[in-house]
Amino acid sequence: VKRHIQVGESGIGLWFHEDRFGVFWVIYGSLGYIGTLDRKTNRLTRYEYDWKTGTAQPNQAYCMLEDSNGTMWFGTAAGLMKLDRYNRRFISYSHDPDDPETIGENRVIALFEDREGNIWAGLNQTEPNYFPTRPLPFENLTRFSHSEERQLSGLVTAIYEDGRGIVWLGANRRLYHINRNTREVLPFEGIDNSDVYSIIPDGPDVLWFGNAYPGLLRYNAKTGERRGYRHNRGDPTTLCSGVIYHLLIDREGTLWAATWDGLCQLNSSTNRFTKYTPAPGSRGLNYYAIGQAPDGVLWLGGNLGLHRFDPQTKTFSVYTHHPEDPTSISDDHVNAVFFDRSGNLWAGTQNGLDKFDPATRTFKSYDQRYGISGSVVSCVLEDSRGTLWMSTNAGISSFNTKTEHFSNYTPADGLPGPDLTGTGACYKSSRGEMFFAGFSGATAFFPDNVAESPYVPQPVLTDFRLFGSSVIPGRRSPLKVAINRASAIQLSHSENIFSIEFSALSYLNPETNRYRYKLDGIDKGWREVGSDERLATYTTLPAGNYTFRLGAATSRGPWSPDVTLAMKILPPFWQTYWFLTCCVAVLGGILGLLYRLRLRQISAQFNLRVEERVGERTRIARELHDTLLQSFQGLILRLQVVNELLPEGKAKEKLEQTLKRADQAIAEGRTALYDLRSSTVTTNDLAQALTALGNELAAQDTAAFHLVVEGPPRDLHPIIRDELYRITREALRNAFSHARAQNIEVEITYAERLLRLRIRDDGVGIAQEFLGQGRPGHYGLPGMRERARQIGAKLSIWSGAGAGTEIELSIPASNAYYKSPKRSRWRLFREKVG
Amino acid sequence: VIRVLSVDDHPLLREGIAELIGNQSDMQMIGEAANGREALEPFRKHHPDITLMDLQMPEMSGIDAISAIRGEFPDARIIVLTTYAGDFQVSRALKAGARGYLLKGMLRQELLETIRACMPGESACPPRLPPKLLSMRLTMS
Repeated sequence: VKRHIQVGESGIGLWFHEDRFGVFWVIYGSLGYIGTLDRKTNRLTRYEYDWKTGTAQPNQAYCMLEDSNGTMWFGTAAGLMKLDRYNRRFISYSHDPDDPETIGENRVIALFEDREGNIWAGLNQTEPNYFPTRPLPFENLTRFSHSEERQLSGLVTAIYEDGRGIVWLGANRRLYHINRNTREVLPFEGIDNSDVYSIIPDGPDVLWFGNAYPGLLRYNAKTGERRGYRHNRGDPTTLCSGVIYHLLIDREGTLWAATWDGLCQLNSSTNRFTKYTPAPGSRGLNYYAIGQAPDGVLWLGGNLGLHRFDPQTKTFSVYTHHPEDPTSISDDHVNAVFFDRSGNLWAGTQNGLDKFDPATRTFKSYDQRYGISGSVVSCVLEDSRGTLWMSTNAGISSFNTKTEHFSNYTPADGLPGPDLTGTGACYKSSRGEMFFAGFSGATAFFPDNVAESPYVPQPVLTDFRLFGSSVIPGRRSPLKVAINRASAIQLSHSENIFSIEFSALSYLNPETNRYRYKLDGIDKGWREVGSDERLATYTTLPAGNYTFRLGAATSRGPWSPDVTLAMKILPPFWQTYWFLTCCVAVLGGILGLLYRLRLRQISAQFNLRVEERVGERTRIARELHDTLLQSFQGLILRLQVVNELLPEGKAKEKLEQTLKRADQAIAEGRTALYDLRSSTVTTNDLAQALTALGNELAAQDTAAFHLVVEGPPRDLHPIIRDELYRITREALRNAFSHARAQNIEVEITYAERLLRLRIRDDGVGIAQEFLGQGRPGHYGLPGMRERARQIGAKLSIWSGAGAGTEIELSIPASNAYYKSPKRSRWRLFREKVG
Repeated sequence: VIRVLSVDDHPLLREGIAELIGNQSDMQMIGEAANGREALEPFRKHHPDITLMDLQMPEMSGIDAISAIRGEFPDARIIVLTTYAGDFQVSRALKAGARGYLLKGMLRQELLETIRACMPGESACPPRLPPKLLSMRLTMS
C-alpha cells in the first residue's frame, strides 16, 4: 500500500537519512512512520509492516541507523528491525520473555554501531542490548529455547557426543541426550540420582558410564543392553570404589578407572576388578584423572599429586609439589592428565598447566605469568594444529605450545558461564569439535572457528590523579585540558605521586580488554594489566621528561598503537640552574671573604714579623751601641793616653795612625748601627722626629723651619716610617745646605686615602740638570726616588731656578698606615668561632 | 785645674775618659757616676767645673739630670756626650741647659779641647756643632 504524504507535515519528530544506495529514509508523522522519499518526484513512500507477533500497534519508529555494511536498522516500539535489502523485506527482532538471548525489551529508542561493528540498542526501560555482528564461536549447550528443559542449571559432570551427533550430558543427577539439530533434550532413563563423571566409548556401540548407577555402567546402544557394576566393601574383586571418576580403555582394551579409592582395573574375562594404590592403605587418596602414555604407562592425577603406574610391574612413582622447588609439579591437586600427539605429558592442576620432562623428571609450570586467566585447569584437549585447549575457572583457554602463550575465552565469546571446572569433563569428537563442561554449563566449538579478534580498540586516558584525587582541568591546574585531550602535562617536583587511569573503547567485553603501559625513562618494558587494573601509579619520580605510553587490546587481539602523554616534572628550586648559580656565587663570595680574611691574617702576621724584626734590629743596635761601641770608645781613649805618654818616635807615630784608623772603624761601625737603628725608634711620631730634625738643622742656619700636620695622626708602618723619615731628612738637608732659603716647611697630611708629605722651601731651587740625577757625589734625588719607589710612594718635585722647591711624597693609605694585628677582624672571627 | 765629673752608664767609657783626663796636667777627675741620679751627689759635693753627661742612661736620663743640676746650680757647665749626630735629644739637652755636646766618636780628638773651651771666660764652648761634624754627617747619610 502506498500513501502520498506532503513533506514537512507536522509530527512528533522528523528523522531522515540518505543511505549509501541513495535511498532517502524518513521517519515522520505523529505516529512515527518509516518512509522513503523519492526526491525527483517529491514522493514519500510509507512502509507498513506486519509483525509476526502482531502486538504493537501502531508501530511507532524512533530511530534509524545505517551500519558500516550499509544495512539499515530501525528502532521501533515493537522491537528492532533490519532491512534485508536483497530480499526487500524487514527482519524483526523482538522480545521473548522465555529466551534471554532475545532483545530485552521491545521499545528501541536509540541505535548505535560501535567501532567493532556491534549494534547497540538503547531501550526504554532496560539496559542497552547489543547484537554482535560476528557469530560467537562457542555454542552454549545448556540453553534450549524451544524445549521444556530450557536451561540445564548448575554443574554438568560429563559430556560426550556419539557418532550420530547426539550429545550426552550428565547434569542434575541425571544423564541427558541432546539432539543438536532439533534442540531436543531427553533424559536417559534408568540412571536417575547418580552424577555421571565419565562417558567413554568402547567400540562403535558400547559406552561406559563412570559413576552411573549402580557404580559403573556398560551400555550397548545398539542392543540397549546394560550391565552395571557395583562396589561391595566386603568383596575386593568388586568395583573398587563408590566414586568412579574417569575411565580409560588402554591399548590392549583393558578398562581402567580413576576412583576415590585408587586405580581400578577390570578383568574383562572374569568381570572382576583389581585395585592398585601407591602404598597399602593410602588413606584419603582420590584419583580424578587418568591417561596412558605412548609407552603404555598409566598416569593418574589426584589429590596427592601426580602418580605414575607401571602396569607391568604394578608399581607407582609419586610426583608432588615442593614449594621450594620450582621444577616440581605446581600443585598436589591434579585435575587433568593429558598426552599430546608428541607424547608429552601435560598435567592440569589447581595452579596452572604443567609440562613433564621425562628426562629430568621435572615440570615446567605455565601459570598466570604466561597469560592464563584462570589458574585452575580442569580438562585438557589438543586441536589439529597442536594447540592445547583447556577448561578453567575463568572460562576456556588455549595454549600455543610453541609461543607458550595463552588466549582466554569468556562468556562474552558465547560460553555459558565463567567457571568450567568441576569434574574435568571434556571431549573431542572425531570431527574435531571440542566439548567442555563444568559448573557453569557446557559448551561446544570448533577450534578453527575461534578466530583471533581483528579489532584493535582505541586506548584513552580517562583520569589523572595527584595524590589519589582527580585533577580537574583548569588554568591553574597542572591539567590544562581534559586528560583525554591532553598531550603533555607538567608537574612540580612535589607533585610526585600521580596516577593515570585509562580505558579502551571496546564495549563488547570490557572486562577482558588488556592494557599495557610504560613510562619511558622509568619502565624498562611494558607493564601488562587487565581491565581490573586500569590505573598506572608513579611515585617520587626525579625531575625530568618522561613519556607515558598506553596500548590496549581485546582479549586476544593485537595491540593498539600507543597513546602518549608527555610528562615533565620540574626540578625543585634547589636543583635549578639559577639556584646553583646563586650557590656558586655565594660560595665564591665566601671564598673571596675567606681569602681576604686570610690575606689580612697573613698581613697581620707579616706586620707582626716586621715589628719583631724592627724590635730585634733595634735591640741589636742598642746592644752594639751600649756595649761594643762604648767599650771601644773607652779603650780608644785609654790608647790615646798611651799615645800621649809615648815619646816622639816611630812607636808614637804608629799608634797615632792606628788610632786614626780606629776612629774611622768606630765611625763606620756607628754608621752601620745607625742603619740598623731607626732614627725614629725613640718615637713613633713622624712629626716629632721631623720637628727635631728640622730644628736641629735650623739651629745652624738662617732659614726658619716649620712643620704643619693636617688630619689626625695615624700610626705608620715602622719600615715606611723610617723610609719616610730618611727621604724627608734628605730633602731637608738639601734645602738647608743648598737652597739658601728663608723658610723651609714640612707638611704632613694624614688623609683617609693616603699619607702625603710636602717639603718646600723658598730658596734658589734646583737647577734643571740636577733634578734628574741630583748632585754628583751626594745622596740625592735619585736615592730619594729609589726609596720612594720601594715603599710604593709617589715622589714629585717642582722646582726651578729662583722659584724654590717643593717635593711631594704621597703613599696610599693601605701601604702607609699601620693596622694593629690585635684589631684584625680575622682575629675577632677566630675568637668567635673558637 | 779644671775639675771634671763624668756621668756615663758604661764603665769602660768612663775609664777611658778618666784616664785621658787624669793624664792632663790642667785637668782632674773629681768623680764618676753611672747615671743621672748618681751624678747629683758628687756634683753637690765637688762642684765640678765641667760635667760630661751621657744622655741615654738607666734610672735617670742625661736630660733629666741636666735639668736637675741646672735647677740647683744654674751656672753648671755640662757637655753632652752622644753617639749620633743629629740626635734630637741633643737639642732637648741643649734646651735643658747643656753648654755643648760631643760625639763619642770624636772624644779622643776633641774632648780635651772642648772642655778647655767651655771653661768660664772662654767663648768657644760650642753650643752648635762644629762645621766639621756637619759635613761628616752629610756624607754619613
